[in-house]
Formats: sequence, C-alpha cells, structure tokens
Amino acid sequence: MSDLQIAVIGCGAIADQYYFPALASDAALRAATWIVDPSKDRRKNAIAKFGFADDQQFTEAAEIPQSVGLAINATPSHLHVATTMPLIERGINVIVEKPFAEFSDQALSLIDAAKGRCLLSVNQYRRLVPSYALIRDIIRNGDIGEVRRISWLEGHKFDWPTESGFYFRRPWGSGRPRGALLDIGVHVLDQICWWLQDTPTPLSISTDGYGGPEAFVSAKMASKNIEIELAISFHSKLSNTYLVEGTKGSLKGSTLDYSRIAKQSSNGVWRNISTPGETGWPAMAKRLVANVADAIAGRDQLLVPAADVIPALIAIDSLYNMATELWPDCYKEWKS
Amino acid sequence: MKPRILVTGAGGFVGGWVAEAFYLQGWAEVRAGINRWSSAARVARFPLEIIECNIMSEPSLMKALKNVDYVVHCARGRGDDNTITIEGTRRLIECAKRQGVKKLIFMSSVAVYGAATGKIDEDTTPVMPITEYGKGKLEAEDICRQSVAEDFRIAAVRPTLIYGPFSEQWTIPYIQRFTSGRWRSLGSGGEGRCNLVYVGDLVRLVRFLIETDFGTFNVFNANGPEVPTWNSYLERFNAALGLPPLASPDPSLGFRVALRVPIRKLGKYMLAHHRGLLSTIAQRSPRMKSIMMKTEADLRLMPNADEIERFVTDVQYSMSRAADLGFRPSTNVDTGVALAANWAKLLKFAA
Repeated sequence: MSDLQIAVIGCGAIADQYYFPALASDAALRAATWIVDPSKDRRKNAIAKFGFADDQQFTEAAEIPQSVGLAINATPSHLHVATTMPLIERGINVIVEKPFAEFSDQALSLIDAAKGRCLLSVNQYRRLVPSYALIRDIIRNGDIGEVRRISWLEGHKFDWPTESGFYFRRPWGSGRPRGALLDIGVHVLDQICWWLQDTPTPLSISTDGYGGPEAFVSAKMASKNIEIELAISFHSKLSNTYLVEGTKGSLKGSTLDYSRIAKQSSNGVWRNISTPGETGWPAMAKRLVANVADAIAGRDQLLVPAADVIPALIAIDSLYNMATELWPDCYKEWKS
Repeated sequence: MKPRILVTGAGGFVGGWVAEAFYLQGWAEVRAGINRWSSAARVARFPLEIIECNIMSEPSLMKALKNVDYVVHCARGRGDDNTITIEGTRRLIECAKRQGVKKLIFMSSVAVYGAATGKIDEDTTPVMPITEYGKGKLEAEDICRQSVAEDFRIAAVRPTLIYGPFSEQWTIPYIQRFTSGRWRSLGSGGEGRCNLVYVGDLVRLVRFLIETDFGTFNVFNANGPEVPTWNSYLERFNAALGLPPLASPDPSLGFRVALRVPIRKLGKYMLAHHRGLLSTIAQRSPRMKSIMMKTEADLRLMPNADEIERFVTDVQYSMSRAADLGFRPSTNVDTGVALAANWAKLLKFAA
C-alpha cells in the first residue's frame, strides 16, 4: 500500500474521527495522504492535528493529481453521487462513506459508471465487526436452524459533531427528507441483508418526520418466512440490542459491543461467545483502506463491494415509500 | 399577520417544546435558534425555520433577531458554566432592543430560591446555599429587570421540575430506572413534595405571557395544578408505564448512594475536561468501553445524593401570581404521566 496515493475528499467529522486517525497512524500512509475541502480552516486543522503534508491540500476534488489511486469520499451523504461520479470518470478507485447514496437508483448509476473503470467500495464498517461476521457464519451454517425472526432496537441521542449540519438544514428536493432510517438504518439493514442474503420487503413503518427528517422509526419487514422488526432513534438511548431467532436456537447481542454475542441452543441455555478481533474505529478504517489497496493491486477481493450494499438501499427506499407519520398523544393537543 | 418568535435553545428540552408547540398551533412564525447542528435532530423533524444562533456573538444574534416580535429565551450553558446564562442574556437583550423586539420571556428556575423550604411565592427571599445554576439564573433575572422599557418588556418564568416527553431529567431517566426493575419504592424517604410542571403547561404559560400585559417586568413561578409526594409521582408514573408495582424500599440505599459519590465526581470531571480522551479510549478498547458503559448504567439507575435530599424536602411553590392574571395549569399528574408513558411506549423507550 506504500506507493498508493490517497485523497480524502471532505475534512468534516467523519474524516476527523474515522479516516484521519487511521491514515495518520502510519508514517507512509500519512505521507501518501492528500486532503480536499473547500474550507481552508478545516484543511488547516486537519494538517495541524494529523501531520499531513502542507503541500498536499486542495479546495476541489478536480484538482487532485492523476497519481492519486484511491479517493475516500467523506463528503455529506447528499453529495456522494455528485462528487463520486467525476472520480469514477477519471478512473480513480473510491471508498464512499455510508450511505453509499441516498437512493438506490443513484447508487446503481454509480456502479454502472464504474464498470471497467475503477473499484468502488463503501464504508459499511460493521461488516468488518467480528461479532456480526460470526452471526453471519452461524446463520449460514444452519446452527440455529431456519431464521424465523429478527428484532433490532438501536438508538442514541444524536450528537454527531456535524460540521455542515447537512442532516437537518438543506432544502429537500426529494420531497421526503431522510433522517435516522438512512443514517443508522443503513447499518442495520445492511447487516440484515448481508446475513440473510436477501432484500426484505416492508410490511409497515411509522416515523416522526413531520415534514423534516425523522428522528425515530418503527418498522416491520419480511424476508421469505422471516419477520423483521426495527426501531431506530436519534432521541435517546434505546436498549441497543438485536435478537435473531431460529428454529433450533437464537443469537443476541449488543449493538455497542462488537466483541461478544450470546447463543441459545435448542435446550434453551444461553452461552456467551467472545469474538476476538480489533473493533475500534481506527483499526476498521485501516483495514478497509488496506483491503481496497490490496484489491487495486489484485491481491484480494473487496470486503465491501458497492454492489453488495444495494439491497439495503432498496429496502430503505421501499420503507420510506410506505412511511406514515407517528403522532404520540402529547402532540395531538397542539395540532391546529 | 402572525407574530415572529425566536426561541433560543430550541435544541433543548423546553426550547424544543416551545418551538414545536407554537409551530403546531400555527399562531406564530417560529424561528428555532440552535447553538450547534448536532442539537437539531428533534426540532428539525418539523418544517420550521432553524437558525444558528450563538448567544455570545453579536452578528449571530442580530441575524437571528431580524424581524422578530418576541423572544423566548431558553438557551443556557452546560453544567455550572453560567457564561451563556448571564453574559449571553445581556447580549441577547441588547441586540433584541436594537432589533425592535417587543417582549422577551426568560426561562429562569425555582433554583433561584436556593434552599428555601415551605410555601414559596415570587417574593420569597432566597436561602443559601444557592446552586451555581440558581445563582446564574438570579443574576440573569437582575439583568432582565434592569433592561426593560415601556416598549421592551420581560417576564422571567421560574419553572419547578419540568416533566413530560423528552425530559432528560425528570422523565427519561425514571423510565429507564423503572424498566430496569432495579428502582424500588422510596418509603419514608420519598414523602417530600414533588413540585412538577408538565412541559405543555409551561408552553401555555409562555404563550399566555406573550399575549398578556404583566407590566414592564415580572417574575412568575410555574408549577403544576397538584403537588404530590415523590412516592405518589413515581408510583403513578411506574403504573402508567404498565409495569409491576415498585418493590419495597431498600434499607441500604443511603449507603449505596454514598459509595458512588466519588465515582460520580470522577465521571463528571472526566466528561467535563477529558471527553475526547474517554471517546478515544472507548473506540480503541472494547473492554474499557464495556466497563465505562456498565459504570454509567449503574450510576444512571441509582439516585444521586442530591435526589435523596430532594425526595424528603417539604417545599411548595405558589402559582398565585400567574393565577391572578388568569392563567391556570391544566395538566394533572395522572394526565401528564399518561402522556409521557404513551410517548415512551411509542418511541420504544419503555421496550
């Protein structure tokens, strides 16, 4: 990877907390990193904090030299398509921050454009998480029989130090702003699609987006004979647990602890299973970048090819299309 | 034409409720002022105007106050830092007067009365000790008092414990405590008075004061229509959530609370001064993350020393001044906890 030049497009919160610590942890990687952001202050802060080369900074992605072999697109999600397409056209391989695109048709257009030109990967980092990988293996091996039900509750008070506020502030050309379901839900649904190798269809969904992006979603879906129930929140901490129930046993775990799961065998006894492996953000970012570098060099397959994340985006599209508004009693007295 | 109202601190519990309720009522053009975008997740669900409003910055304030008729000032600093409360209020008032704002409602607190007990009305003299939070509100009230004019009026509202959906102090923690199964009845340690105001009643009082002549400056307590004991409030809330009755009191509760005092202090210090370090450690070490999460959960599910004292305090805040002007809170405890429980169940807090 030492000769691969890497450009990080966007110096906002995800770059600052996820990509930059990983790239700066290795002297060769740090020296090979170029940074791009329209804000001079953000570039200056990144250089001061992580020690990137002062002469390897640009305001626009179009300025990055042809020697750059990998771009990491860390721009706000609504800019992913517009900023990735020119990179694809230049034949530059790209890791796109999640969600790959806001809509599945946009995602497919990127994949089509990249065919024969470059590699596209997506930072669905939870696929690199040991506990989730083990669950996938257990399901595939049939150790818990046929999966019958998956329930997932995940939420925390939104405190992402968003620089641009793009989550909440921009005009919403789509007519339906997308909030917690797109942000957290893309992780949840990508896991489920990856585990089941299927695209679930929606049965019902209610959200508390009342014209703006929702902060809470409750949904039911189906995948063949499997019932799926989700609750996702930006309001406060939920139980942050998942449960996979099969005909011969069940699996459960915490969405905040990637180092263990619990497995219930057919006799009803729960047993904890440790899942060793690095789970911190810098380690996962480094692994993702190393994997794409190896794939560029022809030494490995992509761990997260962009085409693999399409089912989750299709599921999200279908959920938003069916969504109804959730009105707790506390709001009813105010509605004029 | 609808009045335009700037709500400062609209990313917070009370400011968020004022902005949302006024928007839903449709009587005002609401401008929701937020200090940082990360606080906007809740208020952004509604298609109302959101504006970055740094209370300490004059250009930011002048922009946020442009064409505003009324200000509901709910912004405050974090923890014991009173800079926003005192200096921010001073700057807000200066800018509001320059922009032609007619009236400002300042969200103060009954903390200004300090350790006073018994029957308390707006003329009650504060009793030491007063918390840093209370001192800040008291000083900000003084700034308000000195700043008013015939064409720029201010009401300071002193709410008691504000509960209801989204309350991170008096509602959500108790839901977590009840659903954990670890919270027990307080017994004789819970017979103090629980002065609660449902957040909707507070919003109604704010609108009432905007629309009512209270003079150039006035202060108003904001309390609920009944003052139950802590035992009564907690047991009714637990029942509204559909949970089994609380277990009998824990005789060793006081000892267990005392044991955790130094841990709480250390945690508070680390969060205030080394939040980034804690975050880095948690991201790099799953084991440390697990220990931190378990400790945090243990502390969250137990009362702290201040709560233990509060649960036995005999104090009651009068609403007579607002009542004299014609305002009466309408949400009794049973209704308030039912609204909070319905919200908590729908949003899976109580799952």
